[in-house]
Amino acid sequence: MFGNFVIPPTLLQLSLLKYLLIITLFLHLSFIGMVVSGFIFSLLYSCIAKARNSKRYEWFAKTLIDICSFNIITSIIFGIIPLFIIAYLLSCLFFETSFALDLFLQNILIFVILGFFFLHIYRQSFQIRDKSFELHIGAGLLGIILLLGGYFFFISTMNLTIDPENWVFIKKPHQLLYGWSVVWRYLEFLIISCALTGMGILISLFIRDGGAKSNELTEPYKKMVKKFGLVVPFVCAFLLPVIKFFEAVTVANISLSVTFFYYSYLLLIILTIICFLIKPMWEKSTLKYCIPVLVLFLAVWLVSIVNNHRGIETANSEHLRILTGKAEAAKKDSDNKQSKNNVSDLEELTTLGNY
Amino acid sequence: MEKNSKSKILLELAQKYLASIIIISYFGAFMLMFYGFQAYWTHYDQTSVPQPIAYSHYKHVTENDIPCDYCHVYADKSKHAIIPPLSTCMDCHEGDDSDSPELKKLLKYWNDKTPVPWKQIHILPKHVYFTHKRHVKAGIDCVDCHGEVRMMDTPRQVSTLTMGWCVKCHDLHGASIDCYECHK
Repeated sequence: MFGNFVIPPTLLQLSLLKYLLIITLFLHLSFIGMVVSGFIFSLLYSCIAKARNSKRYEWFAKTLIDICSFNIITSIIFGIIPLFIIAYLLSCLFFETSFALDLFLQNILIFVILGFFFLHIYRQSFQIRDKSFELHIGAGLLGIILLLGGYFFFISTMNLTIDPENWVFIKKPHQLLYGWSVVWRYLEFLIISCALTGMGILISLFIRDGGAKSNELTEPYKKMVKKFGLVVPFVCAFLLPVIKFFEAVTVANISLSVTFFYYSYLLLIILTIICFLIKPMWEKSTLKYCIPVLVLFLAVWLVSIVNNHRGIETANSEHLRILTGKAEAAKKDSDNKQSKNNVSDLEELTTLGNY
Repeated sequence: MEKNSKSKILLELAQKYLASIIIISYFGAFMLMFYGFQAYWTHYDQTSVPQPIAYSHYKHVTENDIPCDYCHVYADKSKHAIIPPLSTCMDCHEGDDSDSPELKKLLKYWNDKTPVPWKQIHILPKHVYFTHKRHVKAGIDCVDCHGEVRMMDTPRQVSTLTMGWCVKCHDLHGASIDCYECHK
């Protein structure tokens, strides 16, 4: 897909590719996750507010948008540009394979751009919510559906990287729903996103700037927000082991290794710690562990992404060896050319000297 | 009385730490489930199987340019591609006095006139009829089913060889997907 822009990677590039892909995926998916789950909850609370005629839920829906949405520049830097970076990195990594990278960028990009556009309309239309509720909710719903659809393609394509036997068969977008492993990975993405949003709300309202924002809030509203911010991550932490187990059972066998299981044990330990940190916050109405819990959820995400990358290396070990061989051969060629040039320069100098 | 007070204390402790007990039990149960799955995978589902001699396809095929059909001579002639007899190995390794422990193992089998007990990696169920000859003649390359074996130090199964996978490939290449083709 990148055609002539993708050169076979050099040895240095191959080792950098791995870290760059992990970092880009981590930053991009954390950002998108917060946006997606923030807007999902905002839509939900907006509908509940309309049904129950409750101002509290309406404020909360607005708070969620304000915290989880970002300006256009940030959306482009963390939302759109990483898609191109990831596509380029995958092109290098799967150079000269039948991996259908075209499916990736073509399908995701348009969904993501349109999704951000409609969510922007949803956000801006909050003021006219009372006058035109259908437009407001419709824009939000369309934006969420587009983003969810786009990121289904994304997760499915990333899942395909560890399932090389299916590359030959998957050439069209509708074929990307090709197995249960895609579903479980997608659910994992949504659940971690919800957990990050929950903690993000608490930190933004009660911790950041010494909790200045919370001083303007009423007590019942504060109670509702705290309940949301603690219950959602706690439930997510309880659901994640189920999702991870089914993911392990359905993932391509060729990508499994002993390291995969060690990372899974690490994940379970982190989730246990998260639950033990949320428990006293719930019991004693304190929020002092919010930041550690957020950091631990980000660590869960990072471990999951690193584990996936380990799966890529295991599933494609032969292809990576071919790439390394090509990189080594290219380096040898380049070194030989360099030394030949040096020798001919030396001979020329010697000849000139003699003359 | 003493018994009652002891059980009361225990009950109070249990109530106090109930949430913690539930959390530890829940995640502990999942640890056990993952461990069980790991044990199952290690024994039954791992893609590579330890062989009596650590034969490296990478060394032989890539570094020494030996083609697949030099050893697997019946791939285009028979149902089975076959593992080569020791005499094929000795074509190159006879008189080889290298210190390699794997080569020493090979020479021991040759001297003892015992075939190497290679472990089969690609195993199809007994009710499946598969012939290498038909597939090779149809233009299917070795790598399509066996992956880049030339890059493997330890041979492993890269395709699931499930019926769904076979049928998809048959569909793609316009081959018959009639039941009798494979379940004679």
